[in-house]
Amino acid sequence: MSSPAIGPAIGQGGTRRRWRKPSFWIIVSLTLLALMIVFLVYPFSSLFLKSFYHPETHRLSFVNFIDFFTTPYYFNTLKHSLTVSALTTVLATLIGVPMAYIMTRFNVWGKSVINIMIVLSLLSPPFIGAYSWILLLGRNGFVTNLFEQIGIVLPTIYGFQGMLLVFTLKLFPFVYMYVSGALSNMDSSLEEAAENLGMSRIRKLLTLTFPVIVPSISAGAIVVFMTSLADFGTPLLIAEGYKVLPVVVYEEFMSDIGGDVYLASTLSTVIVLCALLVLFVQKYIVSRKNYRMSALRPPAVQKLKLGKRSLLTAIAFAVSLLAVTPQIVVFITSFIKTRGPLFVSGFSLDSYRAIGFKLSKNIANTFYFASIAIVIMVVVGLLLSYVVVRRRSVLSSLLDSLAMFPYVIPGSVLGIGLITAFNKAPLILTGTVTIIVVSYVIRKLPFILRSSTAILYQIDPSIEEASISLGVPPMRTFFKTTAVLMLPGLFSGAILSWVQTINELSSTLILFSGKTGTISVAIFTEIFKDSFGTAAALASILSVATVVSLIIFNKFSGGRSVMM
Amino acid sequence: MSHSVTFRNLTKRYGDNTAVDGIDFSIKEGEFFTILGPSGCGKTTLLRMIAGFNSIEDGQILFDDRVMNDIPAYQRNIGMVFQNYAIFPHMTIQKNVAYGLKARKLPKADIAERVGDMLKLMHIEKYRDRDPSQLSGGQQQRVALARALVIHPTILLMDEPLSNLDAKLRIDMRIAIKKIQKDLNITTIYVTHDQEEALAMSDRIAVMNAGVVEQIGTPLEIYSKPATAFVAGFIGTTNFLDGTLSGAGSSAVTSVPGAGEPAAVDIRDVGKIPVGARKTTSGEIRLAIRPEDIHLAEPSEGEPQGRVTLVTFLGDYISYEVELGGGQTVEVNEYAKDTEVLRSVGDRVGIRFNLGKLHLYRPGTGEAIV
Repeated sequence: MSSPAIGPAIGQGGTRRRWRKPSFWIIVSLTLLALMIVFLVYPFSSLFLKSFYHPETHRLSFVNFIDFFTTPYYFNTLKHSLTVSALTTVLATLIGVPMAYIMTRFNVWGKSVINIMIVLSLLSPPFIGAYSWILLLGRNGFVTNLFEQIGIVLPTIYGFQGMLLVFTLKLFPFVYMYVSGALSNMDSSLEEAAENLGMSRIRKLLTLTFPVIVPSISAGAIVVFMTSLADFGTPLLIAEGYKVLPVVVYEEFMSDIGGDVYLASTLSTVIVLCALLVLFVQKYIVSRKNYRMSALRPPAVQKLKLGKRSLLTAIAFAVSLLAVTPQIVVFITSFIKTRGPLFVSGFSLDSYRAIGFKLSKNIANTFYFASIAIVIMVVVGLLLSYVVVRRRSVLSSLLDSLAMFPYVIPGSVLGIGLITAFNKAPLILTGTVTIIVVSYVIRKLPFILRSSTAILYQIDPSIEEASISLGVPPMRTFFKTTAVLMLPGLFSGAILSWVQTINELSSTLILFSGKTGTISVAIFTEIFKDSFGTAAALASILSVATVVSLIIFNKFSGGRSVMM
Repeated sequence: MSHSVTFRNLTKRYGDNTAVDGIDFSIKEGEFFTILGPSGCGKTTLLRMIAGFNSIEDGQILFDDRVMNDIPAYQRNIGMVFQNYAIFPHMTIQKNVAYGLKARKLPKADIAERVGDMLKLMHIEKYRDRDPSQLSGGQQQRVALARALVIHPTILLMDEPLSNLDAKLRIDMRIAIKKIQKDLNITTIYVTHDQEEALAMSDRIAVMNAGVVEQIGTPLEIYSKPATAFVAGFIGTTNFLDGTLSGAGSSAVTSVPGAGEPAAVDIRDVGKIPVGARKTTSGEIRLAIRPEDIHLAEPSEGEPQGRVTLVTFLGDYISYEVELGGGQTVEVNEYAKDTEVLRSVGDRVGIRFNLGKLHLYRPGTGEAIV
């Protein structure tokens, strides 16, 4: 067939060397690298390096670490932190795994209600849990007073046991989520084979079912450990004399002049090292015991007789009810009349009115900051994952490792790192919106990168080659094909980040100024001002916003999927 | 407006590994040319170099007489059909096919007309507004082909396009592709590991192994005169026997025109087989012969013999495995229509080689002798 040549203007052929302008992806990589150097490498390397300098002589020295390990006050905080986190992880696993097993393998009643309660319990920041449990079991708590009237003095909730209670109830849902996912992805033929080979039910559980889901258990457990190690809202409210690392970091740093920046850096370094160590152990376990499974036939749900069925249902309900208690308490108290710090009988909307007067700025800020952050997250996720997956090079693997690093940085350390780096020329950002948004994006970077690379791996690279061979240059091809295909998945991933971002406390508390407070910061300061009513109302608003976001998320992820 | 394609000493390296090693040949304008080889032989790498997706380390690719090395992929005006079709999942069939025309900024009316014509040619016009996920594998294949052809490419590249289809559809599509290719008279370079597909579709075939071209020829040449032991083994089924090349001696049967001593192969513990050639060399050799070029007969003195060890009845032919002396075995096919005898395991049989179809290769390099 003869046809006119309709190819685009074809460039000069021949073999002569031309100066090529750097490709789009080189520019993207270098820009991302520059941003990471400014906002990640510079703040945190200077923070960590500081811990290796003598506070007076400014020479390299281990004096800060020697101080840390020889001063019982500081060294004990490390012991406290590790004890609480380790015990929390054990308890959360002991609750989460059986709960997951009961819910996936037996016909308990009201599964959807139980699941909703567990998801709801995940939605608020941990310190709201602490605050609610104080309202119930604290010195002037509702339950405490109730028991006092009948002459029973409850053990105190403040200190070690309080933290353990709050963390465990708050964090076991992570283990539950990971493990129930794994349990329902296990092909039923595996367990049938074990039974067929003569294994009793208990031995089957111990020799097959649990070993196979070890990676998922450890994935849930590591989230529990990291969160409890890094969280400082909860200990600040409930730990009192039982000092943990993040609290001491915060105190050392925040006590303006009296504080010791070098010590704060040292403590930060110690936390990050602990987190890194635990992360490596978990990675090691997973790398040795990773099984790929996909359920051809999902495991059967066992039909139980009335007695056992009721018992398991009661257990599952009790556990999930305990988990969601803080939400319920907060919601109810937000409608109770208050006089100063005291709750009086009767209901009213006073607390919400009070917010309208004083704190509407915080509400607006929360959504404003999170919206900017989510847009940046989507763009960064799109570009960074592409560079990491499709443009493999030394540079892209450097970007990959840099982006993953914030996973081990607790929010408070992140805040301190940013504030010490950007409170002086050439780049003064303290008190600005920018620094808060930067902290959100950095904090979420590992999650953004992981979810967007997962999406990208599902998109066939030859889609782009098809577009290029049809005459569309590489950069336009990316935006017309891969980017369009990634967006829905990216967006639904970003909404999960949004949920965590509107609930963020630790770094915001360090970075906010009068004008840039968020809801979580306001809740926190209201609690410290004993305005429990407004705190509860704010927390309710936050929860409602979270639920609405998740409904949107479900719409996005459940809807049309363009992945092939 | 098709182009010829020429490779000049074309080389591609991945670190220490040379994927394409000094390829040097030409593909004629309008030709259906297949690059055939096992996986990892470098055939897909070569195809992607033509498309512009792989860089060229050494040598040149020319379209007609224009060097293409530095022309970016999107300016080569090549139609490409991918192994997994690479249909854009977020566009309807019509939009998929129109994509390349839009990139060329053609007027809307022209695009609509050409897309319509192409969909009709491919018999997929009724799916024009469907999403790709609603189409079967064969239909997606047609969309991929339509999308590649609608831009009026000067060269069509196809990377194992039929490997994801079931056997029946594969044969239908073979015919469809071949017909369209001839109608449009477009230079087509087709990559496959399926030798039957290559034989059925191609004007010429290049057999590749370990980055080098072992043989280029028409399907008939490749099949009946394999240039190397590799080609003989890769195309169709071939029996290889180890032996020694020597003079025919007194038992020589064949008389060869021309001077020189007639050659024979001494197969270990089997006997001497005269080969239709003069003795030009001597030593260890590999003898190749296809199963249909061996015949079974009643055993007789002075003739190679063997014992039937496996009988497979396949309808139109019977496949025998015959153990020769010295532990070597051969596969023998006898067409059911040519024979009345069905032999059983354990039978002793005489072996007759179709001497015209014997091929000799050097054991190490695999190159042909004589």
